[in-house]
Amino acid sequence: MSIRDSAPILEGLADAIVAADESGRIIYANPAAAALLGWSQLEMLGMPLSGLMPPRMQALHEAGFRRYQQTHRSRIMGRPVRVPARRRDGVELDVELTLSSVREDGQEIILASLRDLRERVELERQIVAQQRLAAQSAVLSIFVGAETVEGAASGALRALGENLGWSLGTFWLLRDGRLRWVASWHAPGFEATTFEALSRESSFAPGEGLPGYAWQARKPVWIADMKSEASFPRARVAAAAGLHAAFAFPFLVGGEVAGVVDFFQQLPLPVDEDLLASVATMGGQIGQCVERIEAQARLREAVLAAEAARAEAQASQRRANFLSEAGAALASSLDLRETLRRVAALAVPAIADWCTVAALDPEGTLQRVAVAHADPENRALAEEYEARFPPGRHRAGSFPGVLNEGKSVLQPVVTDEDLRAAAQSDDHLRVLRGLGCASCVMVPMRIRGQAVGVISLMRGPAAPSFGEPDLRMAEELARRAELAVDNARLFGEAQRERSAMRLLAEASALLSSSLEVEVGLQRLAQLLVPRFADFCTVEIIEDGELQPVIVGHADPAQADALRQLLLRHPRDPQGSSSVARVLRSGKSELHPSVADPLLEQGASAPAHLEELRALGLQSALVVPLAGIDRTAGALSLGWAESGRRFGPGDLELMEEVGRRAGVAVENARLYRATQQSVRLRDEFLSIASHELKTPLTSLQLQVSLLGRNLAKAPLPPERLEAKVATIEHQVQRLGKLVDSLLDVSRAAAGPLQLETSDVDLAQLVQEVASGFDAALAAAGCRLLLTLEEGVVGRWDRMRLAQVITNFISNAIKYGAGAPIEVTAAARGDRAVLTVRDHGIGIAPRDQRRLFQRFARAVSPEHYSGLGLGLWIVRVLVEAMGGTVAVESQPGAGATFAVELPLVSKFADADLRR
Amino acid sequence: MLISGGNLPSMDGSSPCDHLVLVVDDDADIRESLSDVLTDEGYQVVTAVDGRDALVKLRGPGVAPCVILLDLMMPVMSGVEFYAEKQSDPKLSSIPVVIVSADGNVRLKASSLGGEYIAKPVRIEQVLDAVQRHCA
Repeated sequence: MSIRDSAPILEGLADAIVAADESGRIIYANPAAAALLGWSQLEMLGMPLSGLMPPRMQALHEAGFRRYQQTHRSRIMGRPVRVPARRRDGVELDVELTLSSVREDGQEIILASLRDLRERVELERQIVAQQRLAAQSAVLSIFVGAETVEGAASGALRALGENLGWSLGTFWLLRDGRLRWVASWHAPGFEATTFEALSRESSFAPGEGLPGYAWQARKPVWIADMKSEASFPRARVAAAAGLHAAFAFPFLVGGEVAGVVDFFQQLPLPVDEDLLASVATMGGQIGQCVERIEAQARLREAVLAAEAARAEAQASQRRANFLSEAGAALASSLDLRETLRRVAALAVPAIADWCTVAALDPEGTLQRVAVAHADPENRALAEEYEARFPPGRHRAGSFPGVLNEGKSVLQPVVTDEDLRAAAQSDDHLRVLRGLGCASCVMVPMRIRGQAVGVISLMRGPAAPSFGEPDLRMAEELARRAELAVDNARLFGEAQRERSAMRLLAEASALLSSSLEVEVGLQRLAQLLVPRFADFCTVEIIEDGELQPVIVGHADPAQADALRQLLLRHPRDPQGSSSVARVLRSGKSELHPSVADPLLEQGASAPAHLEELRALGLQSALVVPLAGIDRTAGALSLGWAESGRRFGPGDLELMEEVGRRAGVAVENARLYRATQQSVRLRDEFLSIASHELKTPLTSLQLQVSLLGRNLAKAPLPPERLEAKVATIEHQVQRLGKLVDSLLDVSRAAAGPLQLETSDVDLAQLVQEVASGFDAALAAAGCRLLLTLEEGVVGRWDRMRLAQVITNFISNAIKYGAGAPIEVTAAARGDRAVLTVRDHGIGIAPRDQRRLFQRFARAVSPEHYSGLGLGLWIVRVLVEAMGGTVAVESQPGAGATFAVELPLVSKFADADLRR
Repeated sequence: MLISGGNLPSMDGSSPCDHLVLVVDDDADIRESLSDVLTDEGYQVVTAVDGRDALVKLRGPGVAPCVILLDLMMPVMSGVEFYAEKQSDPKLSSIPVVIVSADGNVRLKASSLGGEYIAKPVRIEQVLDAVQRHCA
């Protein structure tokens, strides 16, 4: 059927139909077409098809039409396409164009069917508009209900994406000067993992990338195809992910861009102004919501801050109260331990769940002084901790650092691993865990740059962690504690000083409280116990012997037991006991801790050692009693039952006591010696005067008699002769006595001047003996001489005669009625002379003193004599290079022996026989 | 009146002879000198060398001196020991004693030994005075 034939049908169609010939001119247009396009049917006849199009489409149409003419192929033939058409009045409208071709009468006719899309477009627009409104309201409701922007972001992206039908969206917030990723959304089924991952890591500055573009523009922006935006950092990845069109819009808070939302579509799209307007609105709404959210957040923060400030103020107040209480508590006691215990007790539970305080004791050892725990159930555990795990042995962890470097440590969170590292053993770990250590503060106490201790505060897992304010407060506490510690120490030192001064004053008073130094020493020993020792002994050296021991103990029974022990086992001054060493060296010995080896040194036998062990000696101190140029004795102090120990401070004090005791002993000795000396001298003087007066008596009487007889009548010559002889005899006696006295003073003044010559000993003895004939007879003593011949030495004849005379006259005096034996012999290079009597003898005690000046071994009541004789003998014999000795038993006589050198000291060669 | 030593009057020991003096001294020269002085004045003299000797002589027959001149410092038995012995013997206790001593404290010592003393060196007058007070 031809077009003409179908014209009536075509005339009635609602769709616009336009037919054109091969050249593209319109040959027919139905009324619908005319109505649609605004031309009359007639007017359209002969118009080119391009006349129905907007000018910009004409070139495309021309090209397509030409191609069709040439090739009979068309891209758009047969399928509906949406194109803009132009009405007569120039208004453009979207139509759906379907092209087809028919042949008629050998000619090709092109049929174009045009469907007005305006309604559809309008519908579409309405739909889109509704979608956009829905998107807006969805986004708005999400943001309205949101507490944080981040929380709303994902939901908003989904609302936008689903409602707008776009494939992928990203939410950016401005933070730290850049737009940073907050959330991503992609349409279900669309995968863009790489792109999303890249976005997550990206951040943009103004003008950088798509978000930066929107930021800089401060309004929504459109990208038709990301592929062509080479400068965008994500462009390549976007394109690779199949993302082409994109838009981004900012939202403002307080007039400034606070964030950007961008969306991507899977195909390139021309700019959609409407969409842009819509998202601009959304941007505005989001901005307001964000502003509200931020305001709310700020309000919440402000409330929280106010809360926190209030809590902090309360905490601060608590801390200040605590510090004030602590300060008062610390200042109220001078007892160091007590003070630090209070610190610990105060800290718990006010600022910590448990607290330990460790301090250096005077010996420099770190001691745990106090442990306090808030939970009474944990008391036992806390005490175990205190007793068993001394702080000095912390293996690792902060403790050693705090102590040595003096730096505080705040460990807000203490993990089990930390505990394990710090624990010295499994047990220690168990205790630490049991006590609950989840947060910890440790502060050192320092005095004048020296660490003196550590305060450790611990909180359990249930309590809030320690923070900076707690650390500062702990440091404040430590400052106060340091002050208290210093005060306590200084006080303690002052106390000790005073105590020491008092002791020394008391000691001096006691030492001089009696004329007998032993009494003073006993009182001193009692003074020292039990304050300064559990027991105390004083041993004095007198004439090379250790005198009976002075013992002090608070319990008299114990003192006695010790005294007995020491008497049973007399100390050997040359032995290896501590006391013996001190006596020899004059240097003190301090044994802070006494162990078996020390006891063994002082033990003379296993039984003795057992007895020493039984004393329970823990600590000992031995100081010398210092005399003028010798050690006069030793003062020993011991701690036993009270378990205390001596330290260097004690040593100093007791050395001073020892010095004073030594002075007292020396003074007593010197006094005794002086007294003795004076007594002997007085005795000597009285005897001397007695001796002198004896011959004077006879002399005086005889002379007086002579005088009387002269007056009365002359005496017969024989009587006169007798009297004169008596007078001469007395004068000689006097002379000898005076010589003796002179000898004494000469000998005292200096060494004797000897006049040596060759002396035959036997011959000299006989000479001296013969002068004693009368006296021997009168005393009834027989003299027996055993004299070796030829014993010749180079000696002072007169002095040696004096020696022999002395011995013989003593023998007569003390051994009257018994024989006297004198021997002289040579023995090796010595000449030996002995004089033996069988008289009253000499006690061993007196033998020692016999050859001393003024020494007398007999009572002055019975025996006259100056007591110089043997001393003079000694002086003379020693001057001749010899020795004198005595052997005697009381009642069994005495043997005096003199040894003289045969070879002269003065190197006279031809003496020996 | 000179009476040479020799025949002593026979005594029964109950009454002292007013001519007899006992001289006790360990020094021979002093014994001799005192004897000379006393015999020159007509006394009879008995001497003893120490306290024990003196007691023996006193307890012997015919020795009842009117006074004893007693030295203090003597061996075997001193003057003090002798005096104590003498005082405890009723037969001897009444015989007066004059201490003759060179001891520096003779006065003090003599006070418990009868109280009479002469300090050596003695003068003849002192000796004769002392003897005459107790003897005829």
